[in-house]
Amino acid sequence: MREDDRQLGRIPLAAIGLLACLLCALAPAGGFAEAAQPSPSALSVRIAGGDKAPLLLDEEAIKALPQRSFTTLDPWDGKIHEFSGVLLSVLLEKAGAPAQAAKITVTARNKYTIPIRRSDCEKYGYLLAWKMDGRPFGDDKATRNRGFASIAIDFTGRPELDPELYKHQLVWQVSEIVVE
Amino acid sequence: MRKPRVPPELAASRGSRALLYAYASIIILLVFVVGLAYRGDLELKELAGERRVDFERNIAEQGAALTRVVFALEELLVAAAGEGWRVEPAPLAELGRSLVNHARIPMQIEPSSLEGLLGDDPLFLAERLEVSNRVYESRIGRLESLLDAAEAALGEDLASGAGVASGAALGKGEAQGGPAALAALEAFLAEVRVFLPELKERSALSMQVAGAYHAANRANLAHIDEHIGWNLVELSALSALLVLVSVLIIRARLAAERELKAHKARLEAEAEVRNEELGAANESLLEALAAKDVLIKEIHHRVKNNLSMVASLISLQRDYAGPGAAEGAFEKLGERIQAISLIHEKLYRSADLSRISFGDYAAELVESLRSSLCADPEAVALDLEFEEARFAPDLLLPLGLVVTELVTNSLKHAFGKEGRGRIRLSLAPAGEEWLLEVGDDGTPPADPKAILESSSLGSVLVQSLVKQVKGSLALDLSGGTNFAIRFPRNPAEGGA
Repeated sequence: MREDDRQLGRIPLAAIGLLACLLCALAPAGGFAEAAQPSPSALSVRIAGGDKAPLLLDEEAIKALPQRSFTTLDPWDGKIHEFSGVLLSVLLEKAGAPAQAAKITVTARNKYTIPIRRSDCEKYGYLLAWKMDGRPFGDDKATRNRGFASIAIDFTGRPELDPELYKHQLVWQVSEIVVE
Repeated sequence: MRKPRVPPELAASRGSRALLYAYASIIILLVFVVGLAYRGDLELKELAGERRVDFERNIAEQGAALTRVVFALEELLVAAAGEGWRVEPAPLAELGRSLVNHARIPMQIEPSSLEGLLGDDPLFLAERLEVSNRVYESRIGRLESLLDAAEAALGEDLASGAGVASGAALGKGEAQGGPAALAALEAFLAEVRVFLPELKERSALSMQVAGAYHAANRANLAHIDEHIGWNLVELSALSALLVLVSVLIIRARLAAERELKAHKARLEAEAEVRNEELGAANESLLEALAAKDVLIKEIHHRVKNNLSMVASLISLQRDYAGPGAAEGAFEKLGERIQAISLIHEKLYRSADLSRISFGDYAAELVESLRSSLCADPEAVALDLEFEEARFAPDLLLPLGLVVTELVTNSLKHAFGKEGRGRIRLSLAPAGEEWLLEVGDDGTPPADPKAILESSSLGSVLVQSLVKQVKGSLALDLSGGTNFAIRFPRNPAEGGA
């Protein structure tokens, strides 16, 4: 842990990026800290407008689900990586998402929020990834900011998915998924 | 049969060349037109690229402005929360005003301006932008009114002496405005706290819009590239097709030309063969003709020899008969036969078997008569004058016999015992007739009538022969004995 702290101190501001900056800025504002927020190594899948309790998933629970992986471009660093994790569609099914639900909203720990079409999830095999190139996120400084889990999309062989646009759905530090 | 014109093979090759030029022109024109279109495409692409850059820069600037606003607001909040109210209210209000003005910039992104650009909009940008614009506008409006209120309160505080003069108590841990101003600024900052996450979302949204625009443009540019590519492919295919068609047509024409030439050569060869055959036929005809001429000459030669032999037999018979009346008869007979024989001799010696010169014949005939009938041939002078005339043997034979009779008569009776005198013989054209004159300058007969009306063989023969040539006979006894024979001038007989 001490070693990790030392490394964290050395991360340049630019590498952390806008997301990290905004995340830091949240602390003094204070208004967004909610009691129900999951711990950093867990996330919740919630069905909007229902009485059903959110599905809370920690690391162990996610690792226990069926795993998938693919190798593709990461638009944020412009390199090819292998991503491994659980299909979003599997998660949604496990949470009991109704068939007619067409949209999900993924929120990051810093409240960055982006909508995703459910059809895209199914069609393109969106992944809730927790490993990159065979190593869990956070094993080195390059993946530390991705949090426990982040969204990955397989761009390989899909010219209709313009990385310039879809990269905005590659949410890091996923904390909540809401099915609408 | 053949009219003068351009040779067909030349015309054909000219036609091919014209066709070639026509096709080359079409291809060049086509390349030019498609080149123009290609240039247009490139300009369009450049324009699209420029627009993209402009728009993206615009959105990026808006994103940057938002980021600046966010940071400034955060500083403001940190200052307010952490350090207490140690800043002057007036500059605070001024900063707030500036922030609000900055925050207004991103409002310029209207969802309608992105219409047709977001495609199937997987990020729900249009919907989110609309919501964001609405929330944002009301938030800015509220911030502005709160700021107005704070500034008004500040002014009142300063006017009523409730506030402290600007800068006097900086850094002393005391509030600089009056209670009303402070309360108003607190309300403003509370609103800013609510505004901040919205502003962050707004910032992210503008980046996503830029991404969507970028993607749409890239697709558009790819489409233009594809269009340009297809244009080039079509041009190449069309050009190749044209070239192929041209080559095929020209090949066909060349083949036709070759065929034409071959046909012509065949015809020429056939004509050559026919000419050779005709030449050979002509040659054999000429040979046959020459053989015929030789044969005719040979016949004339034999006839002449036979006649000469007959004349010799008559001469022998005369000698055998001894002097008397019979001697004269035999002599005359011999001379007549000699005259005929001379014709055949002339014929076989002449190149032209059908005609004989009257002058040559008559001169030789008269010379021969003089030699055979005169004791002293030198004593008789011959006065011969002939227009050039060539007669067929049919005409020449009677004329020759007439001349023989008349000249014999002159030589025997005109010149007396001395035998000295002149024989005249002439042939000349006279209008439509020939005039043959035979005469002498000797003593004329005592009774002229007796000559013409005599029943002697000579007289009968002359008159009969003149009739045979459809002629007339006249006698003139002035200065000798002169006969004039006129006979028609047949154009076929030739003449002077």
